[in-house]
Amino acid sequence: MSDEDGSNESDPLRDLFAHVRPRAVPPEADGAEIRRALFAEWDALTGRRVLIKRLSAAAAAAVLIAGSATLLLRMSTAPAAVVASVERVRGNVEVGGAALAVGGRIPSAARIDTHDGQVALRLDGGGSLRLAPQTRLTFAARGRASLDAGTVYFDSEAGLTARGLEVRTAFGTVRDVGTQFVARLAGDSLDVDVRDGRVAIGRAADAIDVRAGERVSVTIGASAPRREAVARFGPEWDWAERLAPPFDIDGRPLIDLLRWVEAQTGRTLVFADASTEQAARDTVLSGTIDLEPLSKLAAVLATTDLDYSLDGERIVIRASK
Amino acid sequence: MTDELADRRLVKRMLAHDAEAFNEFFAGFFPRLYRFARTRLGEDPDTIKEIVHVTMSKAMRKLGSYRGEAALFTWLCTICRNEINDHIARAARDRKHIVLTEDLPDVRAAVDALTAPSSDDPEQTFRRLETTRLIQVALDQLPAHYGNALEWKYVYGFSVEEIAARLGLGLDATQSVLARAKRAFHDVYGALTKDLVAARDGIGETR
Repeated sequence: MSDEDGSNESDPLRDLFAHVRPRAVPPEADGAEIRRALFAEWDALTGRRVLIKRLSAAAAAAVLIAGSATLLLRMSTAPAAVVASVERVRGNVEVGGAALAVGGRIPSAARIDTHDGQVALRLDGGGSLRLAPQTRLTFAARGRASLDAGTVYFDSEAGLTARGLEVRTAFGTVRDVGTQFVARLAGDSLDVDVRDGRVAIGRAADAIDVRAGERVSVTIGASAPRREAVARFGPEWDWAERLAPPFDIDGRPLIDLLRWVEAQTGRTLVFADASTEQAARDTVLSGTIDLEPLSKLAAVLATTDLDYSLDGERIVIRASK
Repeated sequence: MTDELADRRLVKRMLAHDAEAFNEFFAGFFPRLYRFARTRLGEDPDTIKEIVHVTMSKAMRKLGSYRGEAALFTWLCTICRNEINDHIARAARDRKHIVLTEDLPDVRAAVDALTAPSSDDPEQTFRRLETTRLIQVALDQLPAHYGNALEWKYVYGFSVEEIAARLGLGLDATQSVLARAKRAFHDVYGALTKDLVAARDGIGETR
């Protein structure tokens, strides 16, 4: 009788396995994190490949129907303008009810809902907009969005942004003035934390100026906004750091990576001495690596003669021991 | 269907943007690859995580070059081993260099997953641990559903009905899977023990 029918007799494997313990199971959180990142990468890679194939196959047919298509396009309404593209996505994030993937395009007037996920967008006008979990946001047009719920982080990337960003909320309109900031809708209040630069909150009656290192809270029923100091780095900014856009190091000097880490973490870069700074300028990196800013810094510096440590808000770069 | 053929089909489906294939790939290979890295990197969860992530990411980008000459898991292990070697080289200035006897080039990838036991283990413990490791490595070398089925049956003591439920198969199909899994296990385990003995004999002769 076969052992597979439930009988345990005459099965040599049973003795062999007598002292065997279950195989180690990877930590669930690690598996989930790697899976999310890998899925996004796979989706972007194979989605594009399939698209190219389909486009090639459809090319001839497209020529044949071009006349008809032109006519149809003239008859139809203009499509919604693309206002942003997806740089990173974790978990189930939807736009207009459809799941978002890396490389996906965001049309205006479509609502983004992050549910339990997070997403980093590259705005067509420039800048990195990152949405935390439980956030709902709709772009009215390029550079203009309405925040219905949740938290967003915007990085204009050192003034490179051509158009800036305007975030409308029920409490006022937040406008960046070359900055990094977080706008957070929480119940009956809007909190705006500014990490760098300056932000203006426009309201019907007045405008509130928020400077780097400040948090301004606008609350329904309060006579005046509350203003307090806020750290420019640390746990409150971690979620946004994890969504930092990819930074290609290949062929670039180490100093570029250090400045990028400085900008992404809100910390201040400090060199132990002049020769260390010179080494950072002279060292040219090669290869590719996609990690969160500080992890990326650690991984890259491990291949050089330099090392780093965190000293309060400072990232100190020094020669390896 | 051979393992390599099944692997080629899986890769083909992944390249065609089949999300189910991606799920199959991740569920089938991530835990095995994680164990492969863990046995070689020790208890350093951050490094294991990074190495496995980089390995799977590189594999993803190279999927189009997979021809099925070796099993997909062996192919992944090759990439992973290179990543581990690079990692060790990078960290060489402040870490002890680890050399495993199983890294001899003539030892097949399967044996690669073994770690050297500590030399002060008593003989009995040594043999038991070695057998345990060999069995776990052999299970990882099998197609994922074979390895899982055998582990559920012999390690967890699940009934055929319970295994059938986990595999999503009927009883007859599950019995068939178990029978094939056992035959495959015998082949892999036999090859592992033979290769390991041969490799150690070879080391002994060169000393």
